[in-house]
Amino acid sequence: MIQAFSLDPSSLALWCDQETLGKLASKESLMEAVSACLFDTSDVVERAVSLLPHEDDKRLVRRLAGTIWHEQRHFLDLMLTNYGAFRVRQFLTLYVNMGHLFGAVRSGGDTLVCPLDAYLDPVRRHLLGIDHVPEGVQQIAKEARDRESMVRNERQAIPFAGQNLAFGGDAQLEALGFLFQQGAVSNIFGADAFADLEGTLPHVERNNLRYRWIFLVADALGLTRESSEGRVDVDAAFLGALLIAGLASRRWGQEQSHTADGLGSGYCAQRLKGLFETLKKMSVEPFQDPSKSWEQVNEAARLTFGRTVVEEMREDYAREEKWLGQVLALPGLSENVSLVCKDYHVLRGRLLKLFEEGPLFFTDPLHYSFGLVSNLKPITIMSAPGGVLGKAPKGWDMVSGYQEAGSSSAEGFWWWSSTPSEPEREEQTLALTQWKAWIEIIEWRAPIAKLLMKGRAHRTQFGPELIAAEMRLKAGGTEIRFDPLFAFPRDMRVESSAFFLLTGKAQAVCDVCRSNVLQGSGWILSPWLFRKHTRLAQQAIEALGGGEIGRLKFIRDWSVWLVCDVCDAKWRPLTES
Amino acid sequence: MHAKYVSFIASREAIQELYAGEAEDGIQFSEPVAMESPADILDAPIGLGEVKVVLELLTVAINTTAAGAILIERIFDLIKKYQGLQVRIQDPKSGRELGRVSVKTSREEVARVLAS
Repeated sequence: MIQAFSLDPSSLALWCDQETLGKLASKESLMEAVSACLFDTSDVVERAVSLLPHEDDKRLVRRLAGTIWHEQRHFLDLMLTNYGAFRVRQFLTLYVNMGHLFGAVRSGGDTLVCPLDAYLDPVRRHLLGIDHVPEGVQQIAKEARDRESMVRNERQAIPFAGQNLAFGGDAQLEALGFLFQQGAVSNIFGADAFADLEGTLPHVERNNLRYRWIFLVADALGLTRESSEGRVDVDAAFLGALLIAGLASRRWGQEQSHTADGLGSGYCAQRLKGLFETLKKMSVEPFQDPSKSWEQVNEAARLTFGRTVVEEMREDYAREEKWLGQVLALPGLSENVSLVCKDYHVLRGRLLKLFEEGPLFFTDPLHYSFGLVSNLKPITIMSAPGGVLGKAPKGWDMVSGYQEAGSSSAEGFWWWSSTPSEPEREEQTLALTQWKAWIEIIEWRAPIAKLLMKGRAHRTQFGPELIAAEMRLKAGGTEIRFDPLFAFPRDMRVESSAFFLLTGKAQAVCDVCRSNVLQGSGWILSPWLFRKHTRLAQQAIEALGGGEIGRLKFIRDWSVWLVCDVCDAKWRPLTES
Repeated sequence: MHAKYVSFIASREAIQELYAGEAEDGIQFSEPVAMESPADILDAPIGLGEVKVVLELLTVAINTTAAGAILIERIFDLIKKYQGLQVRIQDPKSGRELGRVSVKTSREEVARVLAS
């Protein structure tokens, strides 16, 4: 429910939550250092951090820099790797099909049901009273469901090192993000700063298997060693190569290759396990020259699945090129959709070329830290879920906002998200170039795709974007309704531990009664909870001052609420109807 | 008896097993659906990266009382098999949570929830 940075796979944009950031780093000098992480080179970041007077501030910015580099790695891998590209095309395909889908729904005078997969299931159709499926919708829904099934199959747990691990495509993307985040922090700020940062992480973070499962693989392959200071080092360059090989999944209905144990080339988890078995037999030399590690992994892929990693990537890209040709030939395709599909494919081609010329910039954290990370520039979106009154700051363009019709009040106009006005790019910058077309995607096609995939039930989402997309659809003549099981996010009321873990504070102020909320007490309420329960919304409006101002503040406020146990007990009955 | 519809949310393994079980008269399953959204991934580890159980959802039409009883047995078989398993029961028509089944829940309680 609370994130400072996230990379949205639907638009490849890096979202920064300025309110969460503000809770962490309120001083201007800190925000400048964070801004350097987003927009400048690593040496500028290093200098900005060194100028900070307090050790705590330095530590915080290093930590934030690490999370930004983690997201930038996602930006890279979503285009470089076959699995990542498949995940992006999951969304692009929906953008391509949207015009046709809405046309089909409107022409039959139907209401669009979200998520789309409800159309495919007789039990859910019966429950939702869908007596016929508009022509053309079935095919689009089936395509979206089939792609989602592939992602779901990636989450199948596989026995490994005495545990059942779900190390499919998404887990491998996270492991890459984590390894290269750690590598960049260590290389750019120094090993001591890195050790200091690791030492201050909460226990739950230090043992977090979501990212650290890759260390089990490292251990089983003998890719770890104890340093003289008693630290356990891992051969991250080998792991980087291995993960890229795992993510080189064979898609597009190609004939699959299987190991004697039945592990196939099409799924990332099976690929990783297959590669692991082969490498065990090849005997791996830990901490060798990273180029040798890469060669060994590339060869292991050939021995295991009949193609090297590079061959697998080339084939994937060639097939994507054909797909793109078919997409661009579609009659009536929106110009912006056509532009973003091409733009993404071109940047992917550039990355693959760079990869073939210098794989170490992608597999080895040291090369990556000084030769690549500063060039990765996803479109940055600054979000303010609480809404900021007035226009977006100078040099920034509004992406989403609101103006109350007929209101001249200063409280009646605000922005929720904004992006730097089109930035200048240098030759080596690795960025999407069709900026305006991507902003249109971010503004409404991506949120609509999310509604089509899972209604409003997403873990990471920005409320105003979904509501704006719904309103836009309605204004265009497409009525929408939700499967009730996907009409709202799950877990709209959670314990406050995440808030305290994130901010490192021991106490905070209740958003309702302003009393102190101590760590270990209190609740976090999702803004959706207020949108779901009218009586709770009324209470919130009162808590925000009541009247017209309270109402406008409520419409504006999509931030989470921290409430004390007493207020929670008072409000909870209002959510039980 | 009119068909009674309920949705179960639990770990992927448990839902898949429930779905793959022998087809009984009087029970009709929807396709299992992932609860995780494809748009959910890729947030940075800054304090909140706990491991999440991958959840799936299965909606069931129960057409006879006997079928309801069989379903309850199947759920308790899963509870016994998967340590720590919790099954959330929701009303698919409203999305409202009806109850949760864990090792501490009795068959009678579940029967009451299904009959509600």
